[in-house]
Amino acid sequence: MEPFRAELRAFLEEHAPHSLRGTALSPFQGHWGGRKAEFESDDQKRWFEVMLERGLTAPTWPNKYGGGGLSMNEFRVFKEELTRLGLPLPLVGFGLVMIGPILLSAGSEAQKDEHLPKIVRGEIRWCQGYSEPNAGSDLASLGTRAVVDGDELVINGQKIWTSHANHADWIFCLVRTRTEGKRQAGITFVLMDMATAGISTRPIELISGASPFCEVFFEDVRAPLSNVIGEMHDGWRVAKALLAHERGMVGESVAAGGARAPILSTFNLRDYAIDKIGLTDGILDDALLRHKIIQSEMDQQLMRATIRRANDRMRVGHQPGPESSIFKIVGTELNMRRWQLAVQIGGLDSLGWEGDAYTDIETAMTRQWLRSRGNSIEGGTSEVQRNIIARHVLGLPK
Amino acid sequence: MSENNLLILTEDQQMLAESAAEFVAAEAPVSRFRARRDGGHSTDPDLWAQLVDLGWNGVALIGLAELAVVMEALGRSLAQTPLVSVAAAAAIGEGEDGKVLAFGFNASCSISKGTITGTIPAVQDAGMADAFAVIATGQMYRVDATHAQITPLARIDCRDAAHVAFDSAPATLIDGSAQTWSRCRDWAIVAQCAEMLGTMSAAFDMTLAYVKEREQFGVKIGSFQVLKHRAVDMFIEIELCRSAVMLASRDPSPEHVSLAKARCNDAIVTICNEAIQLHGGIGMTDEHDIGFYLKRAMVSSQTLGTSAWHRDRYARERGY
Repeated sequence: MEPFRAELRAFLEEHAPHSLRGTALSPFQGHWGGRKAEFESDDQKRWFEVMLERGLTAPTWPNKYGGGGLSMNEFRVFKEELTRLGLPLPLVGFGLVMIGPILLSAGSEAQKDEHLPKIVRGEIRWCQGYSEPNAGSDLASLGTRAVVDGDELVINGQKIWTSHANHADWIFCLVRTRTEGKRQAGITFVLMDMATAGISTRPIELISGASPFCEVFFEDVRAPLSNVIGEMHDGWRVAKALLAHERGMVGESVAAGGARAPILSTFNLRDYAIDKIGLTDGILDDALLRHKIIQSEMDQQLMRATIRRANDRMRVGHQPGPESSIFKIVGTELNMRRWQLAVQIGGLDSLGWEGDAYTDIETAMTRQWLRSRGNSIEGGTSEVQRNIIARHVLGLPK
Repeated sequence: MSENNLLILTEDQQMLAESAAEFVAAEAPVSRFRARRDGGHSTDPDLWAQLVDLGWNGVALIGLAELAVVMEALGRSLAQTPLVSVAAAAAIGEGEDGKVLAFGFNASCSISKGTITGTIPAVQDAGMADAFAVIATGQMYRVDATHAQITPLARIDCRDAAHVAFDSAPATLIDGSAQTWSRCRDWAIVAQCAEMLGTMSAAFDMTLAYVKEREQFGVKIGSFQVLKHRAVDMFIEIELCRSAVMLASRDPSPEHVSLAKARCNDAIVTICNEAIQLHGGIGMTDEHDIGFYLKRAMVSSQTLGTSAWHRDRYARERGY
């Protein structure tokens, strides 16, 4: 592995723009690509292009789709080397981490040829249409209806909590193609171009003021049957293969510090508390808050150690162990507690929504707390996660 | 990064874990502890002799990660061994001969003309000790057990502890400063945490098996969501404690050691309380083993530093 590392390191040292070093925040922050995409800076564009040329926008995908063809071990080294320089990924998004892997495992050759290269090149941005107003934790009850008409599906219904649907070019969806029989056995996995007539989106404003999620409406939308992934009525199985992966990713991302506003990139709870509360003889002046900060720092450190355990297992060629099942619950819940604690440390200074009476960093911190409140809900609630662990890890009866 | 720094078991450690588990199942199941308890014995010299035969008195000299594997296995069945003290001695390279050096961590003594005077409360493994290590004016000393007044304690967990007094006892210098002393204590704490991990894991496994088998209202009680979620919370705590023990046994810095002990203290008490609650009526009885685990939990969580003490040290290490 060392020659690979040395070569990659030399490449990064030479080509990674200096302005981007040390700016990595989370696996979901960076250039998202897509028809409407604009680079934030020339350096971001250059970084994307130089990595694309080497197949490193999709490091593990096969070369024939424009990927880097890296083994899992090489990919680990790749991530370590990016982390070493604090570099963001050259391309992020649901194409790379969600629909891409699904296509690779369940897509036809034609589907792979059509979609994967566009993802690699950052030309098409994807969103995921799973949840519905009446199908949240109970996803299998989804009712967006798709009826076959000739060689097309005609789709009517609504999705909700679709991340960044208003910026996306294509959507991968679960739709109901059969209403009788077992609910899971009547669901089909289908791809649609968001520009298709009859699709509209509406952003949802959250309590933090941000709108990362949308509603998506389908009115007599026509999609060719060739856009179905896997067999008709077999979409549940196709989607399920990736759900566990998605939850692990969310937990890991949140544990790494979580997606956060750039202004908070160097925010540290301990330093903030020391600044806000003050020390006497090296001890924080508020004993109760000190206790809570210790708790929070310990939680963080243990979460990181647990992720390290899982990564170290993979490093020596083992499958992830039972420890990886706790990432989503633990990562999100401690992230929420941490931002709440930050607001509590801030006292009256952290109650601002906007305006000159409050510092930018404290307003951002407070909004981050409000945004984090959703962490234990999005991507599978903590309660559903507990049900899954009880059943699949602990073997408790249904 | 060498393989030894990874937070996983090496193949050798895996083999050690398997043989430790086999030994515990064959030679030191909980029934052995119960028999000792019933006989009023807080030590098990025969078991220690067996462990010395196996060479496990020297495991800590190989490494804390290796010792942690053995401690976890023994902790599962509450085995009465002096291995926590042996771990402390290993920090100064002692213990190869199978002799037990117990540490008077709870007080310092005074030294005068080469003799030691002082009283140390609740010394762990005092009954099995061949000698005691104490600290006086920043230096470590050794006192032979024959020169100590030992008052055994009858504690809830039926393990080896005693008040120890020295009255102008002859002492020899151990090459070690206050810093060495604190390192000995940290090694003991790591061993204690690994044992606690075994204890809480076994209490959880018993509980999980019970809720899968116990029926009420015509169904297994493990099918009730409220119990599932409580079981998952116990499982999560154990996984986090395992991370903490792995971290501390591979790099026993004060920060890591305090992180581990604070977490294990809180987790073991919570888990053993939950274990009893989920067992219902049978869990309250002496006839069932689960009560032993709660007793052990409380003693080990109050020994070698409470959660409050370790949180405070952790914060000081980090500058607040």
